[in-house]
Amino acid sequence: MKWDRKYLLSIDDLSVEDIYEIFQTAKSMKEIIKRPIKKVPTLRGKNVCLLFYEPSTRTRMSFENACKFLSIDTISFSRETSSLKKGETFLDTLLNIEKMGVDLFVIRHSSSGILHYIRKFINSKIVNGGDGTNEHPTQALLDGFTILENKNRIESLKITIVGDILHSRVARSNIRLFKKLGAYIVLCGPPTLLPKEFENMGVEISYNLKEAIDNADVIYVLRLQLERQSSNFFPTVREYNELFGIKKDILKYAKKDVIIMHPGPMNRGVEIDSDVADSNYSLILNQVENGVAIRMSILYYMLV
Amino acid sequence: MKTLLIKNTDKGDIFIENGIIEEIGKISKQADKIIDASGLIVLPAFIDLHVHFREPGYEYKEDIETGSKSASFGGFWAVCTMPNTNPPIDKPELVIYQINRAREVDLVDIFPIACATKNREGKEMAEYYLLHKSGSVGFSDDGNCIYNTSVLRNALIYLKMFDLPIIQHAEDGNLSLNYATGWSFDALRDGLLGIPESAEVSIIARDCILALETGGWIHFSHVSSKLSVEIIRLFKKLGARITADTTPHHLVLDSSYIKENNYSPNFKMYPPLRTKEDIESLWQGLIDGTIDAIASDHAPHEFESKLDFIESERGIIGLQTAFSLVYSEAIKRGLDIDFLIEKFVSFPTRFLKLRNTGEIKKGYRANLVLFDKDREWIFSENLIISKSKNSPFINWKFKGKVVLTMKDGKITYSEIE
Repeated sequence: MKWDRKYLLSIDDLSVEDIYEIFQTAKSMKEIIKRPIKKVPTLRGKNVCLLFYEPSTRTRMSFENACKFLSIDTISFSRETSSLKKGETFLDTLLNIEKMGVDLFVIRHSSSGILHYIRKFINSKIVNGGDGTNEHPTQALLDGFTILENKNRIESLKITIVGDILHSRVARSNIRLFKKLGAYIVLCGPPTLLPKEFENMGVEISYNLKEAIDNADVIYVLRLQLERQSSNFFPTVREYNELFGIKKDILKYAKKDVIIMHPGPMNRGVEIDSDVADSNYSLILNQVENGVAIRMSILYYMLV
Repeated sequence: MKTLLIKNTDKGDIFIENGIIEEIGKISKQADKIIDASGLIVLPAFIDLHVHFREPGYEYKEDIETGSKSASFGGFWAVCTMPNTNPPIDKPELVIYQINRAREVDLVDIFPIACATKNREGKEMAEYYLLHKSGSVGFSDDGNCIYNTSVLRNALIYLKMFDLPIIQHAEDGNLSLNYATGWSFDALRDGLLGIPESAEVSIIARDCILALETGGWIHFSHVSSKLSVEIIRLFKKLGARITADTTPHHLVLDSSYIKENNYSPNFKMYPPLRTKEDIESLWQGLIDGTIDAIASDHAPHEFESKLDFIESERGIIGLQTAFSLVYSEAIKRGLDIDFLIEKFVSFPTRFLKLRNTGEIKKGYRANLVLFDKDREWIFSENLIISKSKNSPFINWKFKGKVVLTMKDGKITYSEIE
């Protein structure tokens, strides 16, 4: 299926060709970011609304800069300052903002699938900035781009994703993307946060970190929502760290040139130790840099 | 004296006088009104054991008039309304109010289900006898599960005096949380945390034990999971007084429909959509008699409360589509219409202990449906009579349609002439 360039709600919206095209353009965009004058007039006069119903620093600022570098004007909205408190529905908010002249919405929302549902009521283009526990496609694309940059391929790499898979939209988008591009995927985490049903996505499942990262090319560490402890998914953060935290001494089981990634924000000493996060294995800051380039590339295709 | 003659049904001509079937066969008498039913089959009209008409309190979702009209469209002459209104139906005056409103509207008979516990709080028994004397036919906290084992056990024992059922909404809220669908691979892949089957089954298993121990009558409404069917089957065999219904939508939809339909909140209900395996098990349960009835769980909700799959209200409307949906599916499975009549008419008639209705016989009440079993039709949004439009079946094509509904000889819905 070829991308319609009206919606990016799921990695499934993209073909393999679309994905590589986005990567290719992101390369040129990255070059723009490095210029002393970081602005091209390509999308001057376009208007993007950043609508974040959940707290976000990284994704939101990344999109904001991506827009600025492409000369797109932005308006933004956060839950705290909205009329939501007065009881306006999400749909009414969209319809109102759309009338202000918006071409494209970037939306983060806590409800899985809500963008799929509301799109029929509005005309604007939509990029999913993370919907509930469903998907976060721009994160997956920037992750794929980062891996490609470092390994020159994604096909047949062994990528181990560690952490709270159950609640992770990042994991769901990444599994889709990495599968599409031919990687071998292992998921690892406590069984309460990694139901065996995930096997049906065509991935291997392991509850043992050493086995899971054996010979891995990439270790992708997910952020642990600390409130999961109070919901009894695991006993304590200390025990989680002991079983699934990425520590320096465990890296010897992986490939020598293994890379470590994390979507941020990190809980140092919980899912990842500082001596790993700050090591040469870590591409965590490269991910952030590439995030802007990937989002520029996506906005370019959707608005040009 | 008012007379009505239905000509040329599959059972011959039917002569109705003052709402009673007086003669069946080849009839050449004159009548005040004559209906030509050539090509149609005549069925006893249906009874729905589980609907929400929202009156009193939530008339912006539905009221007894719009609910009754939906029921008539679907071929129903009687419905059991659930008591989760505002105020909830836990006092005799409220039962009487609902019955009287239905009489004013004069399209369907309402047999109110009253609360199992005062204010649906699960703490104290409602006034079962007084409620029954006013017209209530069973007791449920529907929408809420009766959690307290002791309250439920005493209710089952107490109600043996009147041979009336507790109708349980089986849901362990510690497991269902605010999740919006059943636990399945499809749901997990599509970003939806699911309600495990055990949320329903653990309550059903516990209640089966109570029913067996006490000899009291428990009815499980909207049974949806495979293991529930197996447990009910086992305890029926052991001799417990258990009856059960399932819904049309749980016989057709599984959780893979949610993403296919863009996470439309019209696919969110409790019990949630589950798997194809559960669907098969429900059909098997219907066939072997483990599940006695099919009830719509007609649950209207206004558009604004159905915008967000995760946060939205649970429930869908179903009266207008119930029979056609199940019929369309049943014929694909090689089941005949008599099988459906047991589930939509005969069992509910026995459940309500009604006499002189539920069959097409001389001397019986003329609660009838004329059914065009070959007619294909599309349930378009503009056909919806309910105040709420929350149906997952909008634009579905069905085979078989009710073209006329009659209650006590009065035509309550008709596409003829």
